[in-house]
Amino acid sequence: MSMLAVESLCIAFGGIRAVADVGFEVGEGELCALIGPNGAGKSTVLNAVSGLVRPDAGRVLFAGRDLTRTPAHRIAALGLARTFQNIALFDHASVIENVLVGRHRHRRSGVVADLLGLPAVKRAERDERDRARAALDSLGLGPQAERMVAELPWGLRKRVELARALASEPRLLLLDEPSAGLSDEERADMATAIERIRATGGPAMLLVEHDMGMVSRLADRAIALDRGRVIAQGPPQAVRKDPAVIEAWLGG
Amino acid sequence: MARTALAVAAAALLLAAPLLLAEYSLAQLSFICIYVVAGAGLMLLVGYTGQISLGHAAFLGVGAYTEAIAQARGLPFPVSAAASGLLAAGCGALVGLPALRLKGIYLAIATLAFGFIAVEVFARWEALTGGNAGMAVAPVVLFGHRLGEEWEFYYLCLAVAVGAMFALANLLRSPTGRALTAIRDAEIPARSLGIDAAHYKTVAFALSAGATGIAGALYAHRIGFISPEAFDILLSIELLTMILVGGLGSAAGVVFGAAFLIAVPQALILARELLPEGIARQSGLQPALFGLVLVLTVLFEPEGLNGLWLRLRSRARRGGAAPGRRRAYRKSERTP
Ligand SMILES: Nc1ncnc2c1ncn2[C@@H]1O[C@H](COP(=O)(O)OP(=O)(O)OP(=O)(O)O)[C@@H](O)[C@H]1O
Ligand SMILES: [Mg+2]
Repeated sequence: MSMLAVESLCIAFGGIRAVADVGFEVGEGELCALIGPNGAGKSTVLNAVSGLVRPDAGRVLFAGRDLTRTPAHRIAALGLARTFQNIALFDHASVIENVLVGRHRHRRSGVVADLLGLPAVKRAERDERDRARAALDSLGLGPQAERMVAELPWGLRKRVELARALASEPRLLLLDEPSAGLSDEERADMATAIERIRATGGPAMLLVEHDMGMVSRLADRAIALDRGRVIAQGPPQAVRKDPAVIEAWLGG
Repeated sequence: MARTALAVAAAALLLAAPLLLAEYSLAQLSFICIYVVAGAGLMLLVGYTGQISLGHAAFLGVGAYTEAIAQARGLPFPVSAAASGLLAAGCGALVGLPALRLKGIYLAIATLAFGFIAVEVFARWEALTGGNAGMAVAPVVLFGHRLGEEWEFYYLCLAVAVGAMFALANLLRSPTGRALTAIRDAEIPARSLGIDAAHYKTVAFALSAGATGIAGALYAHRIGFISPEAFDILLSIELLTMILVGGLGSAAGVVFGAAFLIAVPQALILARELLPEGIARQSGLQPALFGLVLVLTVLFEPEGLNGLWLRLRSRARRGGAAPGRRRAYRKSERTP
């Protein structure tokens, strides 16, 4: 059974058909890249999968379960995590607090226990902090843990957002352009980090990426979108050479 | 450590206050404690969850009337005060429903409407509330002992205020608190991390109203006589002014704000003697002053008295070098 199955997905904004009859699958433990020129509909597909945008037609199945009408928070609770193209961190919080929010779906205490500050809450809190630190350490962010997110450079923030998503221990991870705005060196580090996540038995991943070098290096499979439609899918090398893809990239 | 020393000194002063202060001043200190309880609730909602309420006086009223009515029917104070909190919390959860759809100015209007409706209910439900004629409220009886002395009632208020501040601090350090601030800072990412925004907004409204309801129970005893117009829009605005001037998104701001709210009328009483007759007699002096301070706060010190205090403190530490202003909390609504 595939981790994610998208079936004949259609999404329109007013008159714009952002996504038109898109279908693909991501297998368990697989890393699929979603590629396409600007405005192709990549982010919109991710938004539909994570429940932030309601599709007009089609279905989204997560581990065989139909999530098309499920609210975003419930999808996340089932084990889907994501990052955003423009980074969506909580700027008024420290790095570790951001990552702790990523642990939300594993919370054990209720509101009343939190209010009373019961010992069980304090114990769980220490435990959660350890896990959040582990997630930060795994991405080399340990020394940044107590810094405010707002004062970090873009490259580090991209990483913190990845750490926050990983901290939720997802079964499926959606990454919207993790290397956007990064220097060559940071880009290589990001690729290494993603490889390491996979090597340590990480989640299945759907990766939106413009950098074809990165796609070839990381992805098992690539899905090319253009103007809301899938124009090619298969091994990254093959998709890259596909005439339809070349044409779309050259001038569409 | 300086911090601990300061805390110990503050605690000692608060405990010794009945020995140090005249009865009138002690009564004002009780007022501050009551406002701290309500302020903790309102701060949770506005400062930490990013929701607005222009109807919080109504929750204070629900608490006050519940207390007065329950006490008149012979219920012991712990029970009646708990009922005040719970009933107000229930109303809060209901008022929170529009918050699931409305934002900003629309939510402000919805909560304002609730405030008007509540005052209307207090006035019309005469069998229970005595209508516009109001209700006298007897002193608290706690475990068979009548808290008739000012200092006895002060200690009760102090205990409740300390409890409220502890509860706020606990909450902020917990998953619930993180969920609330996450909703405030960026709701869409928060939802994509598994936070049920609707649920937590309702929780925030309920807790906020609950704390304000308990404050209302004490308030009823403090003023000794309640009537509908005591809980009108002006009081809601005062409560909001309190946390804005104190410093949005800071627990210490609650205390600063409450002290400010009580200090201003006292200062006005003193100032009236010095001002020319024509100005001193003006009845709008206090709201005007509140309004002025509010505008000045928003313009020059968005983090309120707490921000001012933090900067003065670190200036004192660094021996003159003024640190930059911290970034004020600003709600940023992002779409992915
Ligand atoms: N919320 C929205 N309202 C209206 N139009 C939208 C909205 N979101 C996306 N669109 C439109 O849908 C189309 C697809 O946008 P989308 O963001 O999915 O593209 P993308 O492939 O992620 O592009 P990029 O590489 O620039 O990020 C675009 O034409 C965009 O303008
Ligand atoms: Mg995009």
